[in-house]
Amino acid sequence: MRLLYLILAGVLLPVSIMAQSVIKKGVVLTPDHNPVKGATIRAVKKQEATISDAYGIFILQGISNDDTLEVSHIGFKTQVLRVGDAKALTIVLETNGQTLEEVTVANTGFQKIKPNEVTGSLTVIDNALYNQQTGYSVLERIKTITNGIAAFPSRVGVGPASDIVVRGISTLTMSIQKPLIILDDFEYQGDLENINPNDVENITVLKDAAASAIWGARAANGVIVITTKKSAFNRRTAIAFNANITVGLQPDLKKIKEISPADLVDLEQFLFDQKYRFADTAMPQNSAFTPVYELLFSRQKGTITAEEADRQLNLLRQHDVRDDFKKLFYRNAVNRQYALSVNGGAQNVSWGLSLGVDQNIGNRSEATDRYTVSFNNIYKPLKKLDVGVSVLYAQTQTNSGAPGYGTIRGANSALPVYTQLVDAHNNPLPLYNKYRSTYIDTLGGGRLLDWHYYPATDYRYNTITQRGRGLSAGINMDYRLTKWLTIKGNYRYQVQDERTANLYAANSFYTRDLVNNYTQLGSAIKYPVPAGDILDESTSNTTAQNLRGQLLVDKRWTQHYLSFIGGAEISDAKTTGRSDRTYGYSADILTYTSVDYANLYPMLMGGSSNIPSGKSFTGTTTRFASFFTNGLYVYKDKYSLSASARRDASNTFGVATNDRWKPLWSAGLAWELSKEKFYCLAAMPYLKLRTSYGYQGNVDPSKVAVMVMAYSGTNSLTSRPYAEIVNFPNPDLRWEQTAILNLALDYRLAGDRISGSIEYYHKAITDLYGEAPVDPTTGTGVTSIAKNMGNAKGHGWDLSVNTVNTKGLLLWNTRFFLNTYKMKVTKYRDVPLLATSIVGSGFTPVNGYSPYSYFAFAWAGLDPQTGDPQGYKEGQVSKDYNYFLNLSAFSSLKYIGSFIPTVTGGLANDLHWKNLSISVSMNYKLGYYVMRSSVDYASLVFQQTGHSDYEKRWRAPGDESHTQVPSFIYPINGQRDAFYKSAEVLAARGDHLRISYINLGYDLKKPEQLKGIRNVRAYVVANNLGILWRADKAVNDPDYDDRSIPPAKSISFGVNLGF
Amino acid sequence: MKRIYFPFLITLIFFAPACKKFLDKKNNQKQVVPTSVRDFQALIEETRATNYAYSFSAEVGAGDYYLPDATLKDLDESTRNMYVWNKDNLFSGTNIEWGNLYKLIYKCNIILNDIDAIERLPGEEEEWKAVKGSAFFLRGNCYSQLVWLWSLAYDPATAEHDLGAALRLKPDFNEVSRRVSVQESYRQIISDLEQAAGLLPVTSAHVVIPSRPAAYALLSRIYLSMRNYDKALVYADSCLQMRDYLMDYNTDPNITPAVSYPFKRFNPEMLYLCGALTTSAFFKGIADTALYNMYAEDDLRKKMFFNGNKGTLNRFKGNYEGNNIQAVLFTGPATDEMMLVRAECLARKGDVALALNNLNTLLRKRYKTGRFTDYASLSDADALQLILDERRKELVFRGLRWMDIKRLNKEGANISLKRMVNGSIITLEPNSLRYALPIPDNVIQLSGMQQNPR
Repeated sequence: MRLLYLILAGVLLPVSIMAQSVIKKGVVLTPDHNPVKGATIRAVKKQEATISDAYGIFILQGISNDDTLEVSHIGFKTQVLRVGDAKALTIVLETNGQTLEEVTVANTGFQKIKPNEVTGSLTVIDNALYNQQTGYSVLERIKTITNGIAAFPSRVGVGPASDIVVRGISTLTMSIQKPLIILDDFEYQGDLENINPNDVENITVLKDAAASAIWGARAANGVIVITTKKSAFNRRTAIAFNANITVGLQPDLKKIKEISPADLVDLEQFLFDQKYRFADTAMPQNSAFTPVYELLFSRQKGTITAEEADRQLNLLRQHDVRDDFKKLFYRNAVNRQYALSVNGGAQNVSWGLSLGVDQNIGNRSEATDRYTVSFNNIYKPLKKLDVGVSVLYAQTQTNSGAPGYGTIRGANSALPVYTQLVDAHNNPLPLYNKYRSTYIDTLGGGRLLDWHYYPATDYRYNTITQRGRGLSAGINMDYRLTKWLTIKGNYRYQVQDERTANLYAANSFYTRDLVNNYTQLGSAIKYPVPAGDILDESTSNTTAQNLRGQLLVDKRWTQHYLSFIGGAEISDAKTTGRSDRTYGYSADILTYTSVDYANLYPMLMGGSSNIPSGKSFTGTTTRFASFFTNGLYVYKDKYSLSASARRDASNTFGVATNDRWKPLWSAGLAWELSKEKFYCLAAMPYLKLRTSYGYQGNVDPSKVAVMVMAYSGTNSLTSRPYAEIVNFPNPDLRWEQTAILNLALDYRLAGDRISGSIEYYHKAITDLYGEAPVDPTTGTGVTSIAKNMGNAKGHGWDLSVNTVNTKGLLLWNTRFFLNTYKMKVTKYRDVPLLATSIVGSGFTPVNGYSPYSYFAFAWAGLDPQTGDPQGYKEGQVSKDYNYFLNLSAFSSLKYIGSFIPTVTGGLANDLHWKNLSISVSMNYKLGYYVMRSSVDYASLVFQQTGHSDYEKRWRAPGDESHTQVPSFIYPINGQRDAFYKSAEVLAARGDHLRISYINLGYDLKKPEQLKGIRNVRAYVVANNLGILWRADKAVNDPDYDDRSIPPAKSISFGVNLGF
Repeated sequence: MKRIYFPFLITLIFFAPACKKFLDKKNNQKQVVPTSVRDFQALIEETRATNYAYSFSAEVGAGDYYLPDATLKDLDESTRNMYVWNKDNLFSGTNIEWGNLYKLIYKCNIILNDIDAIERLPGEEEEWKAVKGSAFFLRGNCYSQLVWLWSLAYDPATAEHDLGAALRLKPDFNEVSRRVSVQESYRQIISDLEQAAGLLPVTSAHVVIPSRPAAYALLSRIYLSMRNYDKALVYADSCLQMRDYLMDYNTDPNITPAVSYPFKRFNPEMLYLCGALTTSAFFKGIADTALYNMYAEDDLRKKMFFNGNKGTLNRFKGNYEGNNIQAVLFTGPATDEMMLVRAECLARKGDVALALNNLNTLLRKRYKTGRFTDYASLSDADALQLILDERRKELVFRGLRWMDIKRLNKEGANISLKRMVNGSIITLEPNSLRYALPIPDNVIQLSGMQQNPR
């Protein structure tokens, strides 16, 4: 309730203040009369200042006509003018020849800095670039547009915790390979999906030590700072509205490399003739057969005629279950997004409020709704004190939809591609994937529930609903002790609740199956599991608090500038969770049925078992205490020197680590060479050199450094409980440490047509987590223990070139960036390296190689007589698959290349012509290999998992000249398949170029003709348009597995209105 | 400038003392960080880990049983090596004897490291003392097992230089394991056991829980192995003052002669249950013929301890742990052992009459009723030899023979052990370096500690 008052007060108060004031309005323009955003307008007498908004407009209150205004902005000459008695001022600034780019202020989470004073490496994604894309998720759109960030390809099996990778991999523990996400001032602990992208002002990516070492032990994977829109003093009330609708096309399931239905039917007929799985008919209760097999059994028994069987088999040969999925489950996705924001500011108070509504309906009718409210106010109760209050609230709900292709399982794991889900009249057909029809149709003599599974409709009876609520509320106070010294205090409280309800209605197969299985047939039939709905619920709750106190020095002399911050921070994040199951649940009348979890019940399908209870509890607490300091000194606007240090202690570190004073530090140097007198390179009027070196850390909170024990039973002799040690306190456990050296050059060529930067960085990563073998004398009783034991190195280049190709009527800009990264493990555990432990796994750290290295068996082609795959054993062509898989040494493998891109980047073109603008953004990934999928006969026979390569298989001598797909043999030789799968013949280049998005916009000129409207922009954005070029056509999409559902194209239509 | 530092100092002052407590919060609530007497007690309550942590290898080389050639072939290489006192490779990579002892030591170290700091509730004092005493007791016992097996016999002349145990007294496993001298090892064991005796109650809840008489018994054992007979006598006597019950093998309800394993579990002679997990190298073994022949026909132990099958099948069945010997062999202290220590020490002091008195008390309960004639008026040397023979017979397969041979050879007993394998004879000379077993290879590799010269 208090919160509500606060919001009301915040919204109403400023309106009343504004009404009493005398207002001086003005607009700041560039020489060609475009608005200047962010210019500082200072009233000299009144000692008041304000900043111009996105339209160049500023408001000052209570200014007398004889006052003087000082208008300044980076890139422009400072202008001084008398106020005079004009109601509205128009101030046209002259450029000072330094820059024409709009200066966006970077946010490190601790302070706002101007990029020209930076010694470290950071990238700012400004509001305009950020909003070229549309979408639900806040960070999705930064994946392909930023120098230094690349999206990790989902095709690689062992992937990092976050697919946003800043400057390459920095750890060997993939669960901690994720950038630190900062929301405004503090680490964001909640669900990123709770942030409304329309609330984002800009995003800063901190890439090197000088930029991010201030985040200390968690910064090694880069830091992404999300800055939300904030209100400002002395700003007129502005209302902005954004609405868009995105239509996502259906994914093309036919692109999935699948065996053809006819081939699969024929294969199964062959297997039937070989009497494959005939033995399983003896165990009717737990072995279902595929539809083809059931038909063949019926024909064999004579229950259907041979003609009828053939007719039905022919029907299956022509049926593709993907058509059923398309017809029954898939549709176009429709996402709607609306955002409204209102903000303004008076002399002593500023305020902002925004609302967001998202309504998404996915390809499988899965629905996600999100409602967000954000609110921020800044008060100036004292002249020297600013108090800011901000609240972000989000509520989400998702409902499961229809099953996706691949989620319905067949009798032997995969769903045969010829399966029919509905009959000719769209009536659902049963799928016998668990039990045979002959068995369940007769069992129980009609006293059991219907035991058939109807996949076409079952999803309607099994719904998963997720509800989330997140609140992040913060207060920050800035007290200016003197003009150049400020004390700052920040506090944030964050809470997030999530509840997942998985409801198996009484009609669902899951419930019917469970009820039937536990049914006690006898003279009096008993149902230990009640025949009602089953509700599985799990909830989790995260509470995080951060408190920071810091001191800021910001002092400018004529030739010197000093900026310093120092402070301390504590954080505490608690997560608790529980899950539970309710039987006989009735949502209408809120009743349930008690069941007996304690006793074992005989099951109809054999054996006996307890009724599953699904209860569990979890809880974790992570705490940090940190001290930090950061200083920047600039001399003559030419030389910048920066240094930072941070020390972290945490309850996840060992005692010895916490007790030791070992800060992570960084230092940086920048030199604006072009300002020197001796500089005479006219072709390059701007040249700046930057270098930095420093340390960052990376923490694995799952590796705990305190001793923990678990009570595990009672001593029957003493009747006292006993416990075992489940975690051994490693007092030396500490963060992984990355030392980064960054060398950079910023340039701008004459005519301001070409500008950009070149950066080189080198990482030395030490103390990598690993499982170290442990001396039994230590008494831990375990063979290995989490220690800091590995080292690695990495280096890369970040290049960016921005060009202005044409000016004038047609404005054409190009942004190009290129990132390279190579990593090498230099020290890790020494294990006897057998080929089998390395080959094909995608992620195996080996000394001397990148952790993502592609090693394969050398390929000697197919045996021309049999079509068997062949390799090399000690130099000789061989088919000794057991040798290859179990005995051959790592050294016998062929190194193919990197499994992940070594070169990534983007190319974007922005064109403006009159009211129209168009942006085309492309991205590329180069210098790597992907492992093609192909037919695996063992999976095909045992699980019906097919592959279109089956058609290309070797069938007769001579085929080896045009195919490399081994022949089909029966009985199956699993090692032969495994060898082929990991052989070099399946390596393909992954290099490709794709269109990330195209944005087409139309700005209505002279919107002031419409009453009250300041701007109108209509836009269309097309996403996932596909691959323009790829090195190897055999690969569908190098980023996605050949057998996964490819991402579908989508198109958004939207409008922005400003009042 | 003062004004600048002021807020910074405030922050520091605010954080510094609170910091440690703030960070002590456990990370995962499902698990417990031991903070109460009950928590620490629970760590050593698990019988399987606490009472059965003891080493069995002492019996393999001690010569009280043998393995026919055919049986020996079935055994893995390291067990065969152990059996014939080979130079190295006596412990396979999977052998856990060393690890089990140190695992228990680790738990004791955790308790001893932290138990002084915990908050004691009113009325918990006795329990707290018992838990702390138990930790000292268990650690002392483990280290005595370690030095008896992996170090040479205690010799005051060389103890300062001989390689003793890898002494670990803190739970930090990052500390590298290093061996200390035999002297230092024994000093630590005695210190641990003395502290245990001072803290433990006279009676414990169960024989699986340490008690004061058991601590005295361990002290008596360790002094006996150091050949400090005066101290051994004092502690054996102190123990027997508190507990001196001896079973009469004729009538005791804890004994059922007819069954395969006559002794009931937890019989009243046991002072503390220590169990050694046996291996096939033992339960396939056949009792040494000379040893078997030492038992008189009227000696009930002959039938209670051995199944008496002729030839290849004469196996041990007199396990005080009661269970099938394929599982666990009792190697803990017991009252019969203390009677024999007291007798031996008295005899060595020259008090033959009292020594024989002790021996007679024991043997009367071991022979068929009425068939035992008390020993009397023997020379000092004869009395001592008699007592040592009875010690061997009474304490057979109690894990003590290896230590006994080592100390007796230091007294000049000149005991040579012999093995007959494939027709050739292998001998272990008295006071051989091989009486200190080689430390498992993986331990040497991972810790870099010094291996025993063999």
